Amino acid sequence: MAEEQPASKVPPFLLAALVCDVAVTEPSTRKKSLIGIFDKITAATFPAGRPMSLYIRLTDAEGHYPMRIDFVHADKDALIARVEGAIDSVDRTITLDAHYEFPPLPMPEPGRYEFRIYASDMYLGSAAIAVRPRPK
Amino acid sequence: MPTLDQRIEFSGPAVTDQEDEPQQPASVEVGAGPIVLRDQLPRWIPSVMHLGALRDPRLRLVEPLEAAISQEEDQVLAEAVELNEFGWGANLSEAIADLQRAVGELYFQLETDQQRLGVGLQAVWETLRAKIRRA
Repeated sequence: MAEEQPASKVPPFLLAALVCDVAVTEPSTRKKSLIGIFDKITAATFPAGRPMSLYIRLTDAEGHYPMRIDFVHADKDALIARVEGAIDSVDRTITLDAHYEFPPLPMPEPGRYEFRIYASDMYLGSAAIAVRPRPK
Repeated sequence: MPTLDQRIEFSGPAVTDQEDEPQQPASVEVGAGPIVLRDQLPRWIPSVMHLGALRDPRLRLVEPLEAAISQEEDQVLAEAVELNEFGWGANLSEAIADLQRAVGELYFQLETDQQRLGVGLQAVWETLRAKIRRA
């Protein structure tokens, strides 16, 4: 049985956190391409919802990190969705990147929404989206 | 009169036959589990958060900074207990951002004054030095 690795307490440095329509990984080079980066959504009706991708890039990571991404309505401190995963790094000097594909996430009302990024339960930062009603 | 091409020196070949090197990070892709959507959206504020970053590009945390989170009336309070430093806001994001800003300001203030700190602030400075380094 595989032993569970201890979670690293070395805080990685979050170089980038971007929200986009689509993130693509080229299979042979593992390079990422981001299409349609945005930080605002204008919705005609509420609750609104749309699929989104979150791209993150880290450095200064060493060891094993359980990862967690919380999507929250920041104005209300309401947790809407959560995804968990893990990364491993043996060299602090390299950069690591990843993207997460989300299904349409519910946004019940206008306001500020955030993807909050945690590694080993350490809060690294967030990517925010301003959601506004479409002017009539 | 030299042509434009003759007047420009390129530092490397304009065309290369080399293919892009595959990106070989030390890690694999971030493995992600299923996305959990919540049916109900109650206010969710943790009692403790471990900060892995400050909102100042000049400073890096080398150890996580623990913040105790509480609510007082309509405000959220984030307290770095070991530094006796606080952040306030209408929600968790604002309180954490305020605490991160306050800790950064404290670091630079104590760094400037480090030769004339009292015992209490000297202890705070030692804690900051252990947890933070300049980027």
